[in-house]
Amino acid sequence: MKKTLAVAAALSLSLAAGCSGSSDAADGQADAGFKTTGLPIVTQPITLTFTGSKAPLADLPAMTLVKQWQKDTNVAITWQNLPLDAYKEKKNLILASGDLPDAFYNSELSDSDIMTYGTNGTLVPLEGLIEKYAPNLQKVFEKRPALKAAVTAADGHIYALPSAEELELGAVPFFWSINTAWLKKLGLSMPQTVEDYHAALTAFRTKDPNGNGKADEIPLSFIGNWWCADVGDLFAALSGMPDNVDHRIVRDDKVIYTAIQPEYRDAIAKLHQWYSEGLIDPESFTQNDKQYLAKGKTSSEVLGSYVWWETEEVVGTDRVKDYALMGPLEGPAGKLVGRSNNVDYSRNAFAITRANKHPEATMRWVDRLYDPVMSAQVAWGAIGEGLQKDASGLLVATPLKAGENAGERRQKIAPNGPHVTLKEDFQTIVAPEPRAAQRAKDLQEIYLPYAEKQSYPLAFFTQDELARMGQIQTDVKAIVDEKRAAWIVRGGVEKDWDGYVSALKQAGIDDLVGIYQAAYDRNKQNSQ
Amino acid sequence: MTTLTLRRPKPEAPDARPRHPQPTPGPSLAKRMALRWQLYVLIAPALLYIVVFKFWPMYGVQIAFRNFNPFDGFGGSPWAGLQHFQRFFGSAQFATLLENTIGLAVTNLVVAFPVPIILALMLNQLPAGRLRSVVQGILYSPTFISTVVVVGMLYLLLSPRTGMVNNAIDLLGGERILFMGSPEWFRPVFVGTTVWQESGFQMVIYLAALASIDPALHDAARVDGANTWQRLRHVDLPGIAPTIAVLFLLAVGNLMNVSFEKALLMQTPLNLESSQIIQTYVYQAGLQQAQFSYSAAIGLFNSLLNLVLLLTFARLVSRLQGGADQ
Repeated sequence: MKKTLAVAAALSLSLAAGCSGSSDAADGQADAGFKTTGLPIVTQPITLTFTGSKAPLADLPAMTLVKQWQKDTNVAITWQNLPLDAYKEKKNLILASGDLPDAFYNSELSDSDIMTYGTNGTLVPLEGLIEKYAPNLQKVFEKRPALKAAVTAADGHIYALPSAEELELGAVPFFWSINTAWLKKLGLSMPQTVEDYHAALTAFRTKDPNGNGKADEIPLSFIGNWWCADVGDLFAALSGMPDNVDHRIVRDDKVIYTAIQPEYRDAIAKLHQWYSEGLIDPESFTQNDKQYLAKGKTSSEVLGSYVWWETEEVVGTDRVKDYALMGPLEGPAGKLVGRSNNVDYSRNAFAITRANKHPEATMRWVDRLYDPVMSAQVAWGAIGEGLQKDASGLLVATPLKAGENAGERRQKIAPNGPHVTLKEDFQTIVAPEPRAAQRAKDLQEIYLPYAEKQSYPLAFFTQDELARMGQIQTDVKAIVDEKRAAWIVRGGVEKDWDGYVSALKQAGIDDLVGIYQAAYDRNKQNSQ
Repeated sequence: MTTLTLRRPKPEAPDARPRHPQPTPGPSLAKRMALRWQLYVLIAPALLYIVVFKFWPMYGVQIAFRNFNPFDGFGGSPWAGLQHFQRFFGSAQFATLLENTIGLAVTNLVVAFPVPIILALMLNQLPAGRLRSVVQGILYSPTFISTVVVVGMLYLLLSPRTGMVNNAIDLLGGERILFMGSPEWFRPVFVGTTVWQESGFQMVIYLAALASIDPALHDAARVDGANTWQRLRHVDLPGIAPTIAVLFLLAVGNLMNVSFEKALLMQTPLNLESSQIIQTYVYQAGLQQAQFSYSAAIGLFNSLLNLVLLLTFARLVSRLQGGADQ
């Protein structure tokens, strides 16, 4: 009863806010000379304040593309975007303080944020505006109903706009690099089974493959629970069930929480054995990405194998020739790797707040970014700077200048944010950048044939579900993260297992899985 | 003469302080205030500061008893009663959090508190001069290094493969230790760095107190044949006892606020067992997962705990002092 009242109160307040907001907006619009079609969007210049995340090297106001937008549209943007870590900390404070920007660009809003701040009126429902002022986005929605389904909240409103690059690059995030120069030196072939791999790691450890007379080799290094550097796929090779950073997989339309399955226990027991044999870097659970990436570039080569999004970023251009990707290892369930729950869609690229006096103009402004050619520039930099037309009219990346690094250049010239590049756009409008094309190829050839068939989709939860999930996850995450690392390093999984499972049950793990299953079922029904 | 500027006011002669002041009928409060208005003007800025920055924000504490929702604000969010407290007390984390927080706080207090006193007593034995100011400078300088830098240095120095400490252990034939990944090493490393970082500052305060001890007392003790140790024990220590009591109460007042950022920075999944304390949990549940009301409730519980401890210790200290006076 109390809850119903609260919801009713929130709704009535949000309605009131919505009304006053739109009348303000109309006044503002009249002043600025808003045009429903064509450029500029407003005849009188207006200024909007955006906040959100940005790449660490990005200087948004100085970007060629951003300057071009202002010239075309007469809409000036005050960018308050911050690097991801700093912004994530500030985001909740911004939302809670009520000192709102006009819009969130690269919003990083969680589903829970979208539901909370959407239903309480902080974020403005956008579906009406989309219908009237967003032809590009509507075209995308017609081609991909699934994308529209993904952004539509449980209450039927759209509070935040999507971004998408349909390349499936994140399907298997854990790329396993192994030192082939060492394998060759030790007379070993590329490991095919988990036993081969164990033998190779042991040889790395004991036979001094880098030849400096010291046992300083690190047979296997990784970062526990890091989105692209975890050993979840080794769980699959050891016990037949992959793990991932969510500890959540889907098989035959059933959601499985991996961290309470017997397979998970067995894999951890074996990993502890590997750890005690000195095959696993003791810093695997304490290092951060910077320390990890530095390990590949020490003066003498020490890394035997490691997990990361790509080979070169860890060991650098000079050493990359010594390493190659290792395919899935044969284990009890054959060759198997996990399929991550990362999807090519995200639904938090852009959101308009109630503080915005020009919602129509803002919607027209952001809709320009969903034009396929503009989307390509949002993601890879302006034409003439990051992209150029090849002979067939396809946009390709401009060649790198000497000493330039593709990733860093992209950070400096591409604002990122709301944009959609569909699978077919990668054929007709923009070629995937060489790194992405290479990764797509590696995935197709090495990993995807052996990947789990299903993964968890971008499902929307109701507010009650989110509240309950938030409560359960606070405890569950604390227990699981701690135990996973502690068991691998210090052992004891067999002894502690029953107590651990009952602690998780007490924390509500069954409810959590139930909620995920319900949302999964709803999503499946909606996308049919 | 040292370079110290902090001085404790000379204690009044014991008989100048009546034990039980007699209530004398005098002018009313308002009259007395009007008479001494200058004093109230002097105290006003400090009072204003405390009201604005310490008391007014307490208005927000009520969200611990509500389901806070920014749109409805502090006063408008629906009541939740003690729901958030119940959730915290019933949580699987509760016992561990409480144990870790109190354990860390008490260890920190017990180990770190006496060190500056000992340092000050030792340094005080050195004749004033170059050596003494150099030593004092060296001990004092870590105060100026920020916690983030200290913890960064820790990771480097204690790294199991390349860290100086582990290299030294290895050289001496010991087993390399995964310091940042062992729950049993979290507290020693935490407290050790606190001592290193903060002792110098406290030491200076004690040195100031030592400097204000009447040299005549020392001379008298010497004449009576007291050796250095006896003079330390019977002249220096009682001389700085009031300072110790004050600093101890201040330390107890901050007992449960052990350096939050340091605990957070030193936290790894491997030492969570001992490094997860109430403040880091509040940060993770509250700021990172946006459960404002829940974390406010935990924070309030933490403060209440601290208040209870403070009152207990304050009584203890006053009783000890009372005992010493008699």
